[in-house]
Amino acid sequence: MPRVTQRSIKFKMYFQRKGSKEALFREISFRLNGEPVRVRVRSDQRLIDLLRDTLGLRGTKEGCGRGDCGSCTVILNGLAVTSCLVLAATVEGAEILTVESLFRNGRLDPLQEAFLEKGAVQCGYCTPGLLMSAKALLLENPHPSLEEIKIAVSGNLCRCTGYKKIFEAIQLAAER
Amino acid sequence: MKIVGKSIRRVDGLAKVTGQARYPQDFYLEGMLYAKALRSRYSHALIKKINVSRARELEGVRAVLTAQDVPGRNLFGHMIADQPVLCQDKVRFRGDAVAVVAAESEEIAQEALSFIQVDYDPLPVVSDPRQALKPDAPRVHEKGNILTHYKIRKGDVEKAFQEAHLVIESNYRTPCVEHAYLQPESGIAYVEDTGDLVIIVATQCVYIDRHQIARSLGLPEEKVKVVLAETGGAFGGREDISVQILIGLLALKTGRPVKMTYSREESILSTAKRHPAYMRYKSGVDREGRLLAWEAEIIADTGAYASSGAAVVQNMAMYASGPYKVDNVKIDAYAVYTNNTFAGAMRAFGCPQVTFASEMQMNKLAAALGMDEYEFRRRNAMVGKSEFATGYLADVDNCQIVCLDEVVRLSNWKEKRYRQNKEAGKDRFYGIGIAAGFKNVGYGSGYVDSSSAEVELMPGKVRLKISAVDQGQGVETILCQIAAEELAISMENVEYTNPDTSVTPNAGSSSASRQTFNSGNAVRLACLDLKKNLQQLLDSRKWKRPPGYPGHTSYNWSNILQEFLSMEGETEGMASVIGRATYVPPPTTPLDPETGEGIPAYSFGFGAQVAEVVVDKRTGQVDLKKVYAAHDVGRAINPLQVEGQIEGGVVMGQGYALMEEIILKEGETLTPDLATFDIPTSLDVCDIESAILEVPDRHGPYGARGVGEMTTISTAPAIAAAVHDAVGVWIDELPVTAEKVVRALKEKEFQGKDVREETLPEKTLQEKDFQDQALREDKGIAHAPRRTTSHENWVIFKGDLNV
Amino acid sequence: MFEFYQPSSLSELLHLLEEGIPDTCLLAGGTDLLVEYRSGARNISRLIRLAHLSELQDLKCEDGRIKLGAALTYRTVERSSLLREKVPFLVQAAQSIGSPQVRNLGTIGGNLVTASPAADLAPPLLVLEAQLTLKKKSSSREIPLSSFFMGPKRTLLDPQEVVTEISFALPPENCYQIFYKLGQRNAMAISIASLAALGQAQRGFLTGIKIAVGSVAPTPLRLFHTEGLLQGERLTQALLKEANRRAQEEISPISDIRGSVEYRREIVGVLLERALSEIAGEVL
Repeated sequence: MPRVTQRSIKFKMYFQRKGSKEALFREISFRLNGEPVRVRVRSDQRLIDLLRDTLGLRGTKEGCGRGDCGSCTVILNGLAVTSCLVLAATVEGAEILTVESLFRNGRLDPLQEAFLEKGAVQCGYCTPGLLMSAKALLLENPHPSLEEIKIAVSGNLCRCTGYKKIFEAIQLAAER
Repeated sequence: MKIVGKSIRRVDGLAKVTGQARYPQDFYLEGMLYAKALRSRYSHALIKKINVSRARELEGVRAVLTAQDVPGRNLFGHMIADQPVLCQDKVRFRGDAVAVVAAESEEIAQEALSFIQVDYDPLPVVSDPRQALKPDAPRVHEKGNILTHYKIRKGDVEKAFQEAHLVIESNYRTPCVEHAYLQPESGIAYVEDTGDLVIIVATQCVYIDRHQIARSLGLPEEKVKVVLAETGGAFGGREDISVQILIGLLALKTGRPVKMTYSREESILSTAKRHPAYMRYKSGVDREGRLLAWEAEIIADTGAYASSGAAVVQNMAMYASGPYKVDNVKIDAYAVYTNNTFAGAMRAFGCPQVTFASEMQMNKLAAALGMDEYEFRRRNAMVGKSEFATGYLADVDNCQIVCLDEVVRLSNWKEKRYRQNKEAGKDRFYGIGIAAGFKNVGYGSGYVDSSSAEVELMPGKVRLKISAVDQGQGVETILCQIAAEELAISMENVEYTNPDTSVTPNAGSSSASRQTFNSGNAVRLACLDLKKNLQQLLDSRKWKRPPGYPGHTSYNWSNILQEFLSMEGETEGMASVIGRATYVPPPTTPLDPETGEGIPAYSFGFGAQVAEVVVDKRTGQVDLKKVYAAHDVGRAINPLQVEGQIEGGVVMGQGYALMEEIILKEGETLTPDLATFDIPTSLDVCDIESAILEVPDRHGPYGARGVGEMTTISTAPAIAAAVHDAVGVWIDELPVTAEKVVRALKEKEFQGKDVREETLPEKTLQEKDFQDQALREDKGIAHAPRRTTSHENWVIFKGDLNV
Repeated sequence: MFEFYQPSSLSELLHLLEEGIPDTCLLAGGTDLLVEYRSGARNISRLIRLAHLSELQDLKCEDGRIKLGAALTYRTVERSSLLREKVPFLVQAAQSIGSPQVRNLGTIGGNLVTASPAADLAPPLLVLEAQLTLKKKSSSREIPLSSFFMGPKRTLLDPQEVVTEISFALPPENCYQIFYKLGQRNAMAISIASLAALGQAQRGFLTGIKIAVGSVAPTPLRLFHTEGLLQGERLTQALLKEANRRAQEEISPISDIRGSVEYRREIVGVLLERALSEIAGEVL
């Protein structure tokens, strides 16, 4: 199998007017999962593409590209956002957490542990986004009610589980 | 048993919660190109000319291919191959691919599509299957618009309807819906140094894919390797080919790895749907509430291509009369081509449609008889040796009865059903409804249904090789549990090998709720074979007993196995020991074309569900409050996963019941994304209480039968029945939207009274026959007002099936 | 691709707008804009971000008026104790929008400028008689929200203008505040119809009645004629019927995948009745 590499950012420019070159790209700095990152981005590059294509963090998933499904949820300055609706150029100075931040030094986050224990994972494609929505909730509100949990994940579609076990898992993680 | 029957954690769970699981989207290969397909601009048109030269000139474009570049057969299809890889002379729906591009970036590939010129000659569009049946309708395919017409003929329905005490006739309609798995179709292809083509893809069966890819690319099957990537849900929607052949074609032409990922819109536009169905049902009962006759005419819209439509519609015919004993059955089920998005397999394969119709009939019959819906079903349920509509005689035990009894107990049906005060706030009314349902496990109908497994004992581990695809349902975990159980080892010692046609044997597809059953048996048999081989090894004295066991007789296969496992890593000169087996389930037969006689399946899964709703009478909004689900799974190998199947199935059923519909107008999808095709969110779902019942199957591993599909079929009719209980209208067309409820209530108001009540006959049942009636009397619950009609035979029939 | 600018002040933003480059777009939450851009439905040659500007983040109560910076996110509206106390129905409307993720990004200015007939914040802001402050480099103007919408996705906004503030007078203390939204599901729903109402009943007589609706006309709509009929009257079945008749004349719904004209008309009547019954404190 050929070697896995970063996606090359080759592209053609299709704009009608000669624009200011600097404005087409941007050098940005931000913190990603606790580490500083400095990277050059295209003006129209989305955060999800920056994370997956350029930075190689593939845990964040794309399910619709329109903010309708929540699979690409990451935490931006403490808030859950769909990374398909965020321009990479706007995250200058931000603090971003992706699903990769939850598993540190071989230790699972209590949410991950609870998702496994409660059977809240089936196909797994919505799981990273759900974990990040749940994480954002618990960061802000460590002891949420069931209703608050339901609202916090209402932007994350899951087609496999029927959600019940997801609620249970978040409740369990909050209890711990 | 130590492992079977336990709620073991998913073996693929860790990778999934840490974001390390690799779906096809997550493969990035050096030098890979990105592919995009040009889809048809028309629902039905002749292609006069395709000019790709301008697109080819674009910088960064590496290939632009059309039909003439397809080296093999330019047709594919899950069961019947009639769908072009790239259309040559005609397009039949909007999702048809006309050309495909590979470029250095997705943006360039997308841009290149706009430089492809296609001259079309638009043809008249047929988008309603009832229209498509007419002789002068536009022809989607040369051979005509009827893909199949299945018939079931048993007894004499005409005579039975004459003799019936009550006959109910209704028209039902179920919508086109989308699987909406969260992971859009994606795959990556490359050519190995040996010249072999490798396709990494999310699918339901690597072998069925390989067959179709090889055929269209003109390659021998052994030159194509299909490797499974993590599969983000499927529900039947990945039985069909999506990106596989296109990326294979481009990889062969460019010599570079090629990746293709559908947008959500492309996924909704171009992949299979659940068949929309128009159904006319007529059912008759005798005075005692015994079913005498069923008649159904089912017209299913199979869209532009066959896919598995013929088999889906055959299933509709076979299960059209529900899990009930009926002596007189007449079913006609048609799969009809139109210029809509093609329909294929989707969770429960034809059963959601017919179960909605048949359970609505059951509820209407019970209401007309003044009989409790549960008692009425119980009275007619197939029990023990039962004759199916196809004439097949099989012992179904008391599976349906136990499900009904349990769901009634769990939901406290007998009290809630006869609750007198249904008010639940201003304009809001409470309702409760019940429905049953059953479905085949395994393909049945004469299709080859075997599964092969290999269990390899190596130093340090047991490697399980089988091509069973885990699309999320958890089959990997189930099969590892079975292997661990059979070999009396721990789960950690079992390693599941990723399905790959060059490595793992064929297990058939992950569909028809068959993997636990068929592959579970295959793994059991392979483990038996391994034990036998280990024993032979011991007998042949090639295995040197360790010093601790000189001449000891209790030294057996298990000791060798443990010794293997205690070795670390690759041990010099240590050969592995392999167990192999193929499980072939009991035979089934194709159905007789004229009568439908035959053996439909070798195992069946039964269930029953109760739904509670609150309906706003003014806005029509239906608020689902609770669902109780009792399912007989034979044996729950992993109860947590069974619950997951029940809860997921119920919520999918809820979506089908209340909100989901792919709306097409003249073949154009008006609901192309997840903002317009609404599926339930966390704020829509209700609490689900499930009961797992275990009446062992005769052939399933440890008595297990399938569960994946049965859980979704009873939900919609149970909800529709609850809506009727709440506000007194039958909504015969899914989804039961707020607007339909309001419209039905208006019609009822306009007519001044409930048509049903008006035409209801005098109650003629013997009250004492029904315990439930007595219960009602005891509680002093009044019967609904009934009027006498002069005829014993009466028919409720609204609308016309033929437009 | 497009030029991307992140001005450091409002005046810099206005300067960039003044240049008048065709297809200049303002980026607030981006929840609609980026989707449109990627689908090819919108050309962007120059994108100017405004969400980060502190000048557009005001949230205060001054001289009996609430002033909201246009770049406040829905989330900020949802969680503001001031707004929860003073205008709970606006908070409710904000909570009904999209998903939590979208509410963390999307802005109230964006909700209005997008000019969707289904914009959830519009009906409550219409009955609050909100004023918008529109600024360009050379001038500034204030216009009532009710005259801002011109049609689906069309507003009075000049290409070189930006909405900086949304302000409204505090509603009277004893006023009922009502917001109803009817969608196909309970989250991430685009409304089939929505209604906001303000008003009270004094000794049984309706006063200060203001009603606005969404998703039943080319723009969110204040029902001025219907209000006129109700003002100072005692709520009766007959009046309700007449009010519904009047409302039906004011709205002009269309049939789409979410609902038919007939259903939308029916629902407006139901929501109107419910709102008025609640205000009048009696069930008819």
